[in-house]
Amino acid sequence: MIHYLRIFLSGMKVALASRMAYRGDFIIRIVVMFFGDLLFPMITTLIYRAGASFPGWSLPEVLLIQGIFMVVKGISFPFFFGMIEEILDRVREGTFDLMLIRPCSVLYLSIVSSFNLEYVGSFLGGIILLSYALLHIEINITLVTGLLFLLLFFFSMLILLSFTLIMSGTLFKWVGNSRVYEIFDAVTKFCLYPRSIYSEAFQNLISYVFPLAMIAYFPAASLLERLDRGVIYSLVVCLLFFLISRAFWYRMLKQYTSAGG
Amino acid sequence: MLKTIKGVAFATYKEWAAYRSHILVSLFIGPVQFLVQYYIWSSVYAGQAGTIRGFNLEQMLVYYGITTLINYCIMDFAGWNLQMLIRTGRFVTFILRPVSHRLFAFSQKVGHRLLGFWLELVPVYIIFLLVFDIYLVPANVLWFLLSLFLGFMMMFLINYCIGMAGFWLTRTEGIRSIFVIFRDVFAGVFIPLTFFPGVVQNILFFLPFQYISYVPVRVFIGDYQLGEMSLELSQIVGLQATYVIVMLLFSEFIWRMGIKRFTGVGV
Repeated sequence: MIHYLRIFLSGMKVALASRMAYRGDFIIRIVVMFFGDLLFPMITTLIYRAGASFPGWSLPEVLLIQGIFMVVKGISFPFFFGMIEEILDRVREGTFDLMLIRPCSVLYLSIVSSFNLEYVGSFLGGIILLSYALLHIEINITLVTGLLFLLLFFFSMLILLSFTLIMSGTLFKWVGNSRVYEIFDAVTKFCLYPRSIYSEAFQNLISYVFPLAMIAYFPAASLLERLDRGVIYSLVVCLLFFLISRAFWYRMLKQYTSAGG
Repeated sequence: MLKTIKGVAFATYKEWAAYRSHILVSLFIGPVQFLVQYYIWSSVYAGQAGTIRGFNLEQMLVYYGITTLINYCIMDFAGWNLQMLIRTGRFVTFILRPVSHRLFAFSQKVGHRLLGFWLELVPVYIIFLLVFDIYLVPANVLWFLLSLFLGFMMMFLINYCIGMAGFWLTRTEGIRSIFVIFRDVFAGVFIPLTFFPGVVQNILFFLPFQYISYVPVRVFIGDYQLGEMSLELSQIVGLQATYVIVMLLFSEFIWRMGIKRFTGVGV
């Protein structure tokens, strides 16, 4: 355990040091994350300002969903999302071989060597949005609601990790395709809005097959006391989804051929 | 000049054709993003009869559909490429060539987008038609094609100017990313510009960004409105052409300033 903690700390140190070599660019990237993620809350606000709305949802309630999405990203992405870029570059250059010969789990090493603090911009934006939303919604947070929210929040991070594993896994075979980020951005747009705006079939799809609703909708719904029993099935699906994505990552790793080396 | 454009465009077309699968990702991304918009606006209009900011549901879906397709036509990586060449010092080889880099980059864009036309635009158009029942036909084909070409030029020139920031700064990825966000927001890629407050719309009218995407989309629909301005197609396309010329002159000015600072660092 201590061995793994040491690897994590040294990986974090090296990753931070390399980012800090260009401090100005690093700060600008945090600002980019901040503004980039506030884009959709801005669009939602413009829609509501025009006198329109999502039926049954007030503006602060929708912003709560979007704020949770940003906070989840801001907390979890620094720890694992950089893995995609790391694998993309290393596979293309052929330097991923170095990861394979080290006396440590390849997956763990890939995760810790990609620590990236830039996502703090998303976190800051999310906190501002959450604060605004919570100030404008009457929410009675009890111990049970709070614990339920934390549980769903954890599963939300698990789903983001699962997507990261799937995307980075494909890069062992699909060498150098930086468009995986665009795929992720496109798919996760479904997480930014209330589930009720989708058709029933699509709601089932994002709840019980590809549990995108777990990323932001279910945690927000727990605070708004709008959860239904379906969340229990969704929790099981999330676990399965994580196990499948992990297995997928290792399966794709086996197909790595040192093409760029 | 035409010979250069043809030669470089053909080489770029062949080069990128080797990475077809990267371009074909758009066949997934475009429809998925449109599906999100479809659900958002269907839900919004379900609780709202009539029009919102001048658009009914059908027009709104056409707006997002044609915005997607226009972006396949005008998409550009000239700015990223230029800053990378400057940073690595590889730009030196372009100074020695008897062709201006701007023309070379423009020709690359032509080749890249020709490939995008077949691999992105045509299939996504068919998906929109067959799956979403969105029938995209311009109100006036000639004005639209002219406006689209000017949008193509404007996107290139603006991105190229941002790429030239590499002459002054070591790394420009951060600034480029911020710029791309603002460019797309103010070009009406995410939401029609008529949704912005009146004061902002009046400011946006004088900025060059609307000429990238918003103007070609409005010309496609057949009427132009922004803030207190309501113009004929000929008027707005004429204005778009004027802005493109101004941008061309501006990029030339930046080029002359920047090239003096190039030291070939990184070679």
